[in-house]
Amino acid sequence: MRNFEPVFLPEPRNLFEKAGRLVRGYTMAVGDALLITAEAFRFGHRLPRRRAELMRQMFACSVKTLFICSVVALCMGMILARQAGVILQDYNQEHRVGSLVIVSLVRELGPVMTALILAASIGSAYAAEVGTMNISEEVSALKVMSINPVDYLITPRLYALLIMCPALTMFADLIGTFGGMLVAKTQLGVSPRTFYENAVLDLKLRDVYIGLLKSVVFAIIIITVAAYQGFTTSDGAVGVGRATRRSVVISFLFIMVIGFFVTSLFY
Amino acid sequence: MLEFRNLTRSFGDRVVLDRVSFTVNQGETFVIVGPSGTGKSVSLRSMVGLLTPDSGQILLKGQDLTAMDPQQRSIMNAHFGVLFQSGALLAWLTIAQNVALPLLERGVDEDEAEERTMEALRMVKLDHAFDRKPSEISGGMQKRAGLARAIVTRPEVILYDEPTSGLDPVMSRHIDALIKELQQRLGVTSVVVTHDLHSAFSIGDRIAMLSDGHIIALGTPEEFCASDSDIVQGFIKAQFSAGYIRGIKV
Repeated sequence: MRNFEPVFLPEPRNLFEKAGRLVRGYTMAVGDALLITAEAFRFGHRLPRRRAELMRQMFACSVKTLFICSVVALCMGMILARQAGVILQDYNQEHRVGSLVIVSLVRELGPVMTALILAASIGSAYAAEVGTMNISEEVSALKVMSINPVDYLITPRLYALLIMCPALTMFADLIGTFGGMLVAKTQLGVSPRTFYENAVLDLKLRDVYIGLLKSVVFAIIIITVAAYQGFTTSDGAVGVGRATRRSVVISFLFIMVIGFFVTSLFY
Repeated sequence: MLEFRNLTRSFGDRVVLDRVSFTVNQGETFVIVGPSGTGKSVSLRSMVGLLTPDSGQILLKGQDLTAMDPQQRSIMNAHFGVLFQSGALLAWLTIAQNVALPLLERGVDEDEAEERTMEALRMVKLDHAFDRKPSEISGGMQKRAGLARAIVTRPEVILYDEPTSGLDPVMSRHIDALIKELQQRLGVTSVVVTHDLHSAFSIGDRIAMLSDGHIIALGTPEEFCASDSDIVQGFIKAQFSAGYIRGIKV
């Protein structure tokens, strides 16, 4: 990992120079962030040595976000069923609500919702942790001990997210579907059997794969943004707060934008 | 052993190190003193590759560290042990795990790592706190734990960044005594960066003073005290009233 040393440049002379410098800065940031992630992937072969840390991170990603994920997914499924049900009832098509709920969840809402929760809870925590370590010279200490901070800190977190983000997405899909089924039964009068048959009818295995692919892409976005923000943290506690906030905001932005492009690519 | 040749490093318009040159001899304790912001820590961080100099060379046993790529540099860092100002211990590991970390990462087997860790902790008189987390021990103990981690790999050069900063005078003298004791027992080369002249006179074989990016005085404690530089004399008088330090009149 390269050293992120402070760069001092003279004041820009005009608007063009200012704009050019801004573009250059963002381009370099994206490049650096991607290099960190590429390096984290490269150290994957050392994961067996970092089993304990991998398990610790997987636990943090899964068990600690399970409750919030369940509540959000359940509500999302219920809202979807309720909103769609009202419209479908106008056309006497309320029995189709199962298909609408499950396809929406598996294709789009499940992966996006899970990724947003992970970006807010886990990505921000990663940025704050690494940022604090950077400020308190722990990252420097690792480098001096000939330990690559990307290998030691980021690789276990990357692989933990790569495993747990799709797993949580599937869990959210299931809970959301259950929520939809609950509303369909109690408020639309659609039996769970009808809900299930319609859901299975329209859901294709391809949808599941694409949903999971999205969650893998989102996991990479979360760790890329969080790691870069963490390693470039400066200015003490204020800097850690800034890195945490940026990590969440930028992750949200990329999850939505890249989510759209992945959807456009397959549908 | 370690040589700075015309090392220059600036931050924007501010030149922190301006063609600084000095040599640290094998087995000696070389102390760099100076007021805050004069480039002491910058010199130390440049030695281990945490900062890249604008120009000049840093030679370790004749090998130019500044010309090496990051991978070679990382290998060369095995020659160094560093005690950071804050201790820089990993918060989620116990003291023993922190000290054992560089050994385990280098592939030393667990039994040997445990033995060497306890030996290092005994040297800094911290073996009783091996199972505590950094947040459960005092600042002085954290520095000692950081020191144990710095020596556990048996480096040839130990770098100390402000080893007594933030400590009370009693603990500061205790750390000084520990640095001296380790120096005698291990026979390593030490570079200490500090603004604490009590510490510098107590542990240093030679003392250099940095001011405005230049070395303005360099010599044994006696020679340092005899320097005719007003800045050096002002720096000494700011920390000592008239009297004797190690038998030297100030």
